[in-house]
Amino acid sequence: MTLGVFKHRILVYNFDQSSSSTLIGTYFGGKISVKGFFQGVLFPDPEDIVVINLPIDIVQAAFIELPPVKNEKDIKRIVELELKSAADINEDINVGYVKSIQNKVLALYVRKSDYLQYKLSRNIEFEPDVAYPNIFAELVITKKLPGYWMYLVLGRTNSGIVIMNGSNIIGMRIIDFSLEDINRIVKEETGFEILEIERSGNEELIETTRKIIESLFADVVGLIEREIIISINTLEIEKITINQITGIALICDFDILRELILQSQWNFREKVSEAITVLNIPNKITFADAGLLYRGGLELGKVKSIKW
Amino acid sequence: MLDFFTGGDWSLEKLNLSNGKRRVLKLKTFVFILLISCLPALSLIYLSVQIKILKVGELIRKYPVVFNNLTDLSINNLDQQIDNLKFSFERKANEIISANQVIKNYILELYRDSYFLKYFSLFSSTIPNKIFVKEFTYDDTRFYIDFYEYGIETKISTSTVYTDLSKMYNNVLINLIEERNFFSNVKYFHYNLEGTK
Repeated sequence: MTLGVFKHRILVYNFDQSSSSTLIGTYFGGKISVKGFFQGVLFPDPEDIVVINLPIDIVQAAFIELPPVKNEKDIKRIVELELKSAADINEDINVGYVKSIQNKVLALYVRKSDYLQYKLSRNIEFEPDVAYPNIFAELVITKKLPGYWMYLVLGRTNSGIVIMNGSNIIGMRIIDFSLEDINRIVKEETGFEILEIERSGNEELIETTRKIIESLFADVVGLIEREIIISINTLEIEKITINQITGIALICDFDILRELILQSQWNFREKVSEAITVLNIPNKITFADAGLLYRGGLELGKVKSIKW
Repeated sequence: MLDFFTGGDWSLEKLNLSNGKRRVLKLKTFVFILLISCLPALSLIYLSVQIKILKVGELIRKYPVVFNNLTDLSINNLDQQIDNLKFSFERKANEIISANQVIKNYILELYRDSYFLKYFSLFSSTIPNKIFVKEFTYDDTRFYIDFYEYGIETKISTSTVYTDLSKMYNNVLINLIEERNFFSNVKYFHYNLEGTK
């Protein structure tokens, strides 16, 4: 009974992982305690806060300049109208936006048909409280640092680079790279997933995995270098050069890959550092899961901590 | 420039691309919240009832006469009843005061009837000189004493007698009518004393 009055349950459905599971957490007084993973899709209680991830390939983004309107509802309508006319869309869309600079917002939208199709394909019959796009899930839990920063998110199915000035987004680029591809190769070779290997602490397995990733590393780093340059050169709303970037914050769930990126010699190595999170994340959950859980918690109030 | 963006649904933390779910409460939770929100009001009501009972108890303890004499405890004629009660008690009190006054007057009257006698016999027995009463009359309102005092000199202080008797009687008079030598140095003093009730 106290559940729903003082304590709230947060259910996170992150369909990026190869096996579908539900992350269960409870929110009480700003603290989220993670109860664990439930195998499969757990049907939610009407009072639960439900968060699902949206793959970035069904989400579109565009920078939109706004007239100085204060009313939130008006802004949302204007963003929707602008998007529809700019992209020539006739169907319904779900719209969200994040502040940029100079009266601009980065508008994100998903077509309702795509959204329903996605939900259907994942056997979700209920409407979630929050549908949050990949890359942003990792970004929301990352501390935004003052100055021009690049946030390099290497996600399970989607990766991307977000360029920010303080807390304002000035550019975003999706990278055709997924950690899941590497994970699959490792799994074929060793029989285990990378996270399982890392958490097992088995030195031999970890060394094998490192060797596999090292062999793929040249391609990965080449892609990252190229995408960093493209993302800088294709900035629409503010032209800056790579030298103006204070640093590149790396968000990556796989410790082995992260260490390789941070330790090897490549073009922008000296600018890259590990991302700082806004609060401590238990090491059993990924950045994306933590971000979605954090976002779910924000529906109920402030989030001060996430603990296992 | 950035003031335009402060607050509102702009931040990453507010981003949401869902259809917008309506937050619902289960009936059980609703009833529970309702109960909790009613709790302060209920406890206040309970407290006020308790205080009322306490106050009534105190009143009954303080004014048992009032409550024992109330026949009907309905609020409407309670005032009237208490007023009536108050009047009847006041009337009783007045009766007692007047009766008291009557008795007091009666006692005073009785006292006055014999006070002069007592007073006279007291001073005649306290002074060393002999006293001879020639005439003694009392007709319920006025007393009159005519007497002689024998001695070398008079021991009667007319002013003392006057002040003592004036407390009880009106028109008090004490006069030394004459003073003569009886034999050798013994004199007699002729007085008369009168007063009215």
